[in-house]
Amino acid sequence: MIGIYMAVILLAAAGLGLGCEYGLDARAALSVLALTACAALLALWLYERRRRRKLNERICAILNGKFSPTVENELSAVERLAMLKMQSLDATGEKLRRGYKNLSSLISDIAHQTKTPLSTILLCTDALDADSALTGSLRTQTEKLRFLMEALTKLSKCECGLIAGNLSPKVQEVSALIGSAVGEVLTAADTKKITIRTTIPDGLRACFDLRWTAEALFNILDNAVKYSPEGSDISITAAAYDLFVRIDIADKGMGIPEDELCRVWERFHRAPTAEGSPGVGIGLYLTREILTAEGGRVKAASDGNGSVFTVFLPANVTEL
Amino acid sequence: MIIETHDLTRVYGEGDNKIRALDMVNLSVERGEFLSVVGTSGSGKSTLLHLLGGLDRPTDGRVFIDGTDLYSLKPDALTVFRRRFIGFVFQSYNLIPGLNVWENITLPLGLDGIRADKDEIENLLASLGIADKRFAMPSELSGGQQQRVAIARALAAKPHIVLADEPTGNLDSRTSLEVLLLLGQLNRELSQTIVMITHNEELAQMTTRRVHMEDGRIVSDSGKAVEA
Repeated sequence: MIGIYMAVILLAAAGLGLGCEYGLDARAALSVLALTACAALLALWLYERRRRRKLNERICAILNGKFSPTVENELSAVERLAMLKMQSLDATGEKLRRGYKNLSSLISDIAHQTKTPLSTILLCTDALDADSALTGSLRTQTEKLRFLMEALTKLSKCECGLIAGNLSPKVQEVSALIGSAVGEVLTAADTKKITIRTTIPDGLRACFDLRWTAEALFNILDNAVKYSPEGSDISITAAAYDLFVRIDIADKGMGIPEDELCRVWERFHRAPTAEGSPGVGIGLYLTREILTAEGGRVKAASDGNGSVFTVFLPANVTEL
Repeated sequence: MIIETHDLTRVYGEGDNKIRALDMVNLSVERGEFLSVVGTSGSGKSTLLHLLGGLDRPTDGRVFIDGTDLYSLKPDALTVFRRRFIGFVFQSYNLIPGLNVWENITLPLGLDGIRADKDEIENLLASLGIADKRFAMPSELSGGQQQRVAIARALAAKPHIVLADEPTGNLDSRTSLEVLLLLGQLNRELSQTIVMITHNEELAQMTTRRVHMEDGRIVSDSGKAVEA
């Protein structure tokens, strides 16, 4: 900085000297002096601007986590501070994640441990007078409790980010996915004489985690079978979009009223029309959580002729 | 809260012709939400979005974006704030015809004196599926591709919030779905807060929170029932 000012003064003096040398009068010498000073100021301003811009860029780089631990300069202190801040943020995040994980496995363990007492209660209930209304209500309430505990176990997995942590999506055949999901509902479908038709383009591939995504599709199919009349059809159609693969699951069931369409994805939500059927309203919530976690989406549509659930999976590995 | 409105009201017209386009709206949006605002035309959803983005002035009430009282800012400061913290996606793409894709995306960055991070923008283009269109002119692109460029432009400055006004209004249903899926991916992977106006219930269903508007008021809000 001081160097620059010295240079300005020297240049000015040189300008003045030059003016005198050539025998110019004082006025001309002054204007030469003014011109030199202007040029010097301009140079100074340009230099300062460049310096500020460079400084700005370096600070931005540091804040973006680009440290250069080997270079010692006027920003080293800032760099060090930023590095320490980021480290402590990382540590806090790690601590929180571990806490969540512990809590979730605790919930899951407790839910698991309740299985035995619940089965015992159910067994004992069987031994009681079957005709008594009290026994009936004992049984229903115990069944309900068991459903809730199951829901709790499943939920504790996805609430604590365990789904996202456990997902390992990779590009693979969509037919394998659909096959595995359909396999799980075949027995139930057979009992109701429901036919499941699948249309999948040859070699269609998408990016997903096979196990979890099959679980997500299973929840949709399970509902489709549950709410479809005997002897009806369920059709599964897959198609390729530019960046996504679309899978439609259409049934000829009772359908979903329009104002329920958005709500079916809510946790513990049950349509008023589904009162009599078993379930606690966790399946579709889980489906949506799983698909969203791997970069997909899901939606439902319905007309008088049943419902269509549409699943979107990313076609390629997504990384932003 | 990244967005908060307090009794936000906008009245158009005078005397007998007064229309309350927005009537005491209180809305809070948390960071990382993907909110859709649904309603018929004239329900006030566009007015709401314009007020959230500092494109209009409220008759009464306030808008806070990440703690900043938007309409307490001087006009110049508001312009700068908007450019830095709010990304817009419109129904009509609004790309500049004489500039190619890359230039359209990096132009707003230049206004702020930021040099575009080449790798970042290339990643953005790749994830939006338009990496090979980098040097194409807007007129050479399909509607869906133009809208993806507009999305990339809105995101390049890493705004606090993205406001989308009927982003799929001019697109066929398949392209609409793809644009929405892409917005959803950006929301999830970049934790980008997005507020989108739509009259399409099917699309609204795929967002994390839905707000219904009628006659300038919020009549239902799924955010009240489920956590996103």
